[in-house]
Amino acid sequence: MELLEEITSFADNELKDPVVIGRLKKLIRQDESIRAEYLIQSRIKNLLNERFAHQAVPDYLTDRIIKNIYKNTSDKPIPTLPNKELIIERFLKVRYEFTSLVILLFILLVSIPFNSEKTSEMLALQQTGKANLLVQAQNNFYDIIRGKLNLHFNSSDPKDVIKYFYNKGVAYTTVVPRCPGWKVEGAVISEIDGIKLAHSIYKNSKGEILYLYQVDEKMLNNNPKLCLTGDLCKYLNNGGALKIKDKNCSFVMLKHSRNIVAIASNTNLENVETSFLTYLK
Amino acid sequence: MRAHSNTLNKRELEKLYTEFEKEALPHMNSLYNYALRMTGSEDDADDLVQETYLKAFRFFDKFEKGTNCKAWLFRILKNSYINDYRKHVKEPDKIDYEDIQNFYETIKSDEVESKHYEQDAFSNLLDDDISKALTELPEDFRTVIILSDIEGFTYDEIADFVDIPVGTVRSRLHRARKMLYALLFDYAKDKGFAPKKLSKRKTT
Repeated sequence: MELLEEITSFADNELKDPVVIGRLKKLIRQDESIRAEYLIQSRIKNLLNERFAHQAVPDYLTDRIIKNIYKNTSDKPIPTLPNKELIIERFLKVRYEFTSLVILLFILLVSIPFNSEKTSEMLALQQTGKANLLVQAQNNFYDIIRGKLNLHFNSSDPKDVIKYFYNKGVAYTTVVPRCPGWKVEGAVISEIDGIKLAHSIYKNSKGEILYLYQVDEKMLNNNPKLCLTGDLCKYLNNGGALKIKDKNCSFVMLKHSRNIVAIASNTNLENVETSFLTYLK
Repeated sequence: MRAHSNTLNKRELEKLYTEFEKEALPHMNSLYNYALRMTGSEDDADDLVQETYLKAFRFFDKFEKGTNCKAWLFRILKNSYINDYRKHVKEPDKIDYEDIQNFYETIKSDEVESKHYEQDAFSNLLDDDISKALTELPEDFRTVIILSDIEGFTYDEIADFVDIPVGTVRSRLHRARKMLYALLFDYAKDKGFAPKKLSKRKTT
């Protein structure tokens, strides 16, 4: 071990041999450069130790981590069906088998209408009543652009908005994406029977507004004050996105992680898709 | 998570979670502090620790029971930092150890009295100055100095976390402190807290 590195070990109480320790103490007393070396090592060590007190993990982070792990533990435990790759593999093994081809064609035919605009329009028409999430999102959005709904919290940092939701009692994981072209303005929290719900608002350089309302899908189960039709839930759960053009406004509803997300904006639908949805991952 | 969901039934998964909770969650504070000092940002530290725990749970069935879980978690965090975080963040300019060594020789050749090291020039520096200097250290050096001087780990523990020999820990720590000293000295000098006679001279 080099002498200078021995000094480092000495400063860190890592040396055990009393003879070596005695020799180094003597050197530090007598040799100016060795003393300087020791003082640099111990000064920096003490400085960092004094200045950077050990910080506890913020509660919201612990909570978020535990929730994320536990959600996946309790909700997706038993795979009853093989995953997509296995299905494809199984079909590839019998790729020339007629039955398999018929089944594949059937799956394709069934899935095509779910992605069509017609399905989207049909589903949109079925959403009625004040308790309906889409209706609520539309009404809230019109209130925002008419200046009837004010922000409860102002921040241009999406992470601050997420923290705000958490600190104010929103009991589910929220998403507030960063999107080039859209700047988050802040947040609103509403309440239904004591359950806090998260709303965030964005603005672009043209002054157009984009409003994002999200709820945990579990909140929609048998809730008389917050609901969607069963067909729409199924459609969203299958990865579909409901897209509606309404005069000068656009509405999108989709499932993100465990949340049902409703987006409303006075920019056009194509812009919502290209400038916002692509960043909602 | 998907790795488990395809192979374990509900009871097995819950048992795994209970074990994970007992073994891994108590180390969250240490990991958070380390992440905080490595990234220099609370938000990035949040993301890094969350990513570490999600990955750790995903591969928890691969963790060898009875071995050092904290060291295992640190290795995951370090890899996540290298693979995920660092890719997306522009690294600040790093200082060159040779440059520091040259500075150090300058100090010695100036026959400076040891009071220069003892005087409290650094106490006037802000925590942000010290944080900034810390982030300017090359990553390998920053890692050991954080683990030793902020987290208070022994050389053996650091060697285990970082997967390097104890001698390398000592050597990196020795150099890291000297580099940090030189950087802080420059900051202090710029702010008028340290004598101007000493300056970090560039290697020519």
